[in-house]
Amino acid sequence: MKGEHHSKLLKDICDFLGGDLDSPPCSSIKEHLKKCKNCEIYVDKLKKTVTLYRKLSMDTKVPDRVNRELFAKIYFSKDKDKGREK
Amino acid sequence: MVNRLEEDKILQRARQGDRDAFAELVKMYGDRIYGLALRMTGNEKDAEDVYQDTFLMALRKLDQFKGESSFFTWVYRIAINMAISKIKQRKKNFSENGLEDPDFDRLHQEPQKSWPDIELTQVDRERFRKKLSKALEKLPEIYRTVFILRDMHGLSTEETARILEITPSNTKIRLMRARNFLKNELESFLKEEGILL
Repeated sequence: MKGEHHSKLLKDICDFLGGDLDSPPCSSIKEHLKKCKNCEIYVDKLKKTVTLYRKLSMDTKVPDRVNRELFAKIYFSKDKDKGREK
Repeated sequence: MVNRLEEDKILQRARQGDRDAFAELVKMYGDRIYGLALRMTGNEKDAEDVYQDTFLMALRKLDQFKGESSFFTWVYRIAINMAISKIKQRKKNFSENGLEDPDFDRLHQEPQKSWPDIELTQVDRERFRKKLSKALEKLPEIYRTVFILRDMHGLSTEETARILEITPSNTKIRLMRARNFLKNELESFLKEEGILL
């Protein structure tokens, strides 16, 4: 198996693993994944990892206190602007 | 979610000094900006600063927003720059600490076990979230930022490279290593939880 990963294939693999995992891979990777179960499983694990992190990023909410402070600053800056106009 | 036309109307009002309109924009995009700040800085205190400073700067510079991108993209870029300078100030972890490439030889020598589809209900949701966040914090900064922008926020390789002033191929290498690192962390956790044997 080791010999299969010559430099061109390795470059293609790195390109694929650091690129869009959901896009179809180039033909050399597609061929390799077809016959290499280990790599197929590895790619699947990466996809699942990314999916879980994506869910995590959608879960985040701004704490109410932080928004209250921000809105106070936003409205306060308006009062300051008005003060300057006078 | 509002469409671009509605957003333009709100923006127009905000530009004329209507603070309620600006507050509407904050409500529309605040969670996403805060999420970005929290993941990039790795702590709530810095995330709160980045979040508030981002919108306050956007308010001050609203006149300079030309509308060439969406308002969100514009604010998003401000937030990224704010977060990066916050991290640099802290100097913690902002180094070229290397992560290894995946071990392709080992990958081919040892049989790999596939993962099941992971439902968050299988593990305590809050504990799981904490674990994912902790693993992300362990990533050296140069990898974490790429992973957040590319995989968590969906920016393209080129956009990420432009923002971080690195080459697209460097972006890909960092992303590959970050994914591999987080996959390994997650795998350890799933084993601890008995989800993987």
